[in-house]
Amino acid sequence: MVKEILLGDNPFLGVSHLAQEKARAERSETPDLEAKAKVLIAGLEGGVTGYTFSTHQVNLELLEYTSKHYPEALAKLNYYILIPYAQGYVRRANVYGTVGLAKSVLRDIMLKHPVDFTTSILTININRLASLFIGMEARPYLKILPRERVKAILLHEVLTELIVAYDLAELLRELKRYVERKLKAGFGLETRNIGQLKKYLEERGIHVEYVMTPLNPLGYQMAPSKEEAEEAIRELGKRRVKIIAINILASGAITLEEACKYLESFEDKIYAVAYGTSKPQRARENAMLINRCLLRATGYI
Amino acid sequence: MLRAVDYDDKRIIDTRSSISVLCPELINWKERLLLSELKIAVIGFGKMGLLHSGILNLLIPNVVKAIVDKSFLLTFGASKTIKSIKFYRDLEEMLGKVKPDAVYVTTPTSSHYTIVKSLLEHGVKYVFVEKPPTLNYKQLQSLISTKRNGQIVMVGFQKKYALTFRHAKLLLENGIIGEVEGVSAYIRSGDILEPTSRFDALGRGVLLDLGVHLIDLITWLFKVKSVVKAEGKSLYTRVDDVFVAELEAEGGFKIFVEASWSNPDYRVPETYIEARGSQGVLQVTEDYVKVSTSIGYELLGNKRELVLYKPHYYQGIPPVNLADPEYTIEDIHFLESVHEGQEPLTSIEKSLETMKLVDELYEAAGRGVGGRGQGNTPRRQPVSRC
Repeated sequence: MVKEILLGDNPFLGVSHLAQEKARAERSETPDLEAKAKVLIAGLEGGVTGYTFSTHQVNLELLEYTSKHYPEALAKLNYYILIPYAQGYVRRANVYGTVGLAKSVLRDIMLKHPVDFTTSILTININRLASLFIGMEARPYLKILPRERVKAILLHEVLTELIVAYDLAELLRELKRYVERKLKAGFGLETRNIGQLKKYLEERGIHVEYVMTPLNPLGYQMAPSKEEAEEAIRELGKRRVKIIAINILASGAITLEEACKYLESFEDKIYAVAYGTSKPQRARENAMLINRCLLRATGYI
Repeated sequence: MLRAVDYDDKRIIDTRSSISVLCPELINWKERLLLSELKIAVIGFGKMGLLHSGILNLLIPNVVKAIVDKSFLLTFGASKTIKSIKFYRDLEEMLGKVKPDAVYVTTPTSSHYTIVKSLLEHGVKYVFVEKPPTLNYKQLQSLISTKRNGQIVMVGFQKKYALTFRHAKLLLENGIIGEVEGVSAYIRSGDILEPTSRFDALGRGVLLDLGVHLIDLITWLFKVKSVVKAEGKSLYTRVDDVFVAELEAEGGFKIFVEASWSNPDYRVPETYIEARGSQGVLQVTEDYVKVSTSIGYELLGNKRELVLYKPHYYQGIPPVNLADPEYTIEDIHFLESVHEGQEPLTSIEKSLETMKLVDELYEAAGRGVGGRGQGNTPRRQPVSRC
């Protein structure tokens, strides 16, 4: 049953999976924090229940701004944090090289968590270091947001896919433990390879609370194939994994009506749907439409 | 056949029937590849090494057996976490112990020549090397002469595996826009927006590192006759951060190209090619193909407009999504070349034209070695390519 409608941050960061041209146009539509906050507030008015975002500086500034100027809005939303903002690290690697990037990340962890860092180094516990990295990325946001509203911390798709590719089950378990116990939030994984992820979680006997993955009638960003991805989503949904459907509009290639019609067949398997927009009016209208076609259909509202 | 889509109506097209034309790599790839028991090694555990080894392992679990990197920090840290792969700091040791069937070279460009040459001399049969394959044309020629019968070297010119560019080539070859009369093209990113000395030793900058993709596409889509003029400019490095050039094509039209890695408006790299013809215009990027013509063609669904975006091409494909879809298609193409023993689309032999033109552009710009803030090279006489 769909319980949450989430706004996503892609348009605020200049991210579009349709075309970079579109992303640049959208970013210019929300040039300042007030414009971005207005999108959040309009979404809230339309029925949005949460905000899902990656740990990009723009989001830190937006949430600080919203906390100061619209505290009631900040208090009403639930939060799903994606860690890290991968493109930021790719760019740092371009300038400093991979080794330079690794050293700089280790230095940052050492400065933020000197004791834990030293223990991890002495015991050569790389998985623990990775947990500290997640904590370091999340903490600035956790300081601003109402803690009970931070529903989940999810690993960015690049980390998820590499965990599966390299069979890093121990690392996954450590990160899950850290997020749930230390950061007191639900743990989740974002993926564009849902079929492979589902199989991996089964084989390793790992249960995660949330999985965020593309779901649209075109099968865009659904792997290993549209049909296998759909089957994996249904199976995970049956096992009480909370599925957060993203890219429901296939990056804008289909209408919201088409998306809703398609999602209806998953309504009892999906926990939340997310969409992004840079326009307040669309944030409000889309939330209302999703409310009508998904939430009412399930009898939730 | 790809059919036209009226984007305003948001009609969905069925591209599946077109996949055999645009992406033959994906037809029955599982049946052909999952049976082979390949051992793959990756040299260089930077972002491209991570990317390729990740895609390969997601395609065929545990196909990557070994990774070589000279960094103690990376190999030590990774070996403590990744148990399914053996890590080495010495190439010879890895080759001796693992005896890989295929090797990916994803190290910095300056080391490509030495490593690929060494692999070929050691008898490694299948090599994938990231772009650019070498620093220059001469090194590439040397690698080709080192190759023995049956050895294959493929270059990571992954734009040729993007379905939008493949579709653009198909449309141009079918004369959709008539006779080409002019081309404007760029590749831009915001990767280098602060000073760095990483490229000093290389002596070449954005044209070799990023612009080589654009040059590769240009030589694939059009026939370049000569370099008319070229100039590079340094902004943050001691090499070219921005490179612009004018080329003359066989057929007499001009091709304007620009490569920049210091454009803050570009969050991720973007390649744009616009071809203007006697009967219309074609625009293509990694994200879309847009065509406007004065005559309706069957290839355009008997319409005069065609607009297709990435979601129209990649419907339930490729089988692995890690970074852009073309990387997975590229890796499948390499594995199939290995399996079939066939020359890949981006073999080093087929990359000669690209590297030759890169050399000519640098020669025309007089920018073998750069100087910070002094990049505007005087215009030169055309360099003949025939």
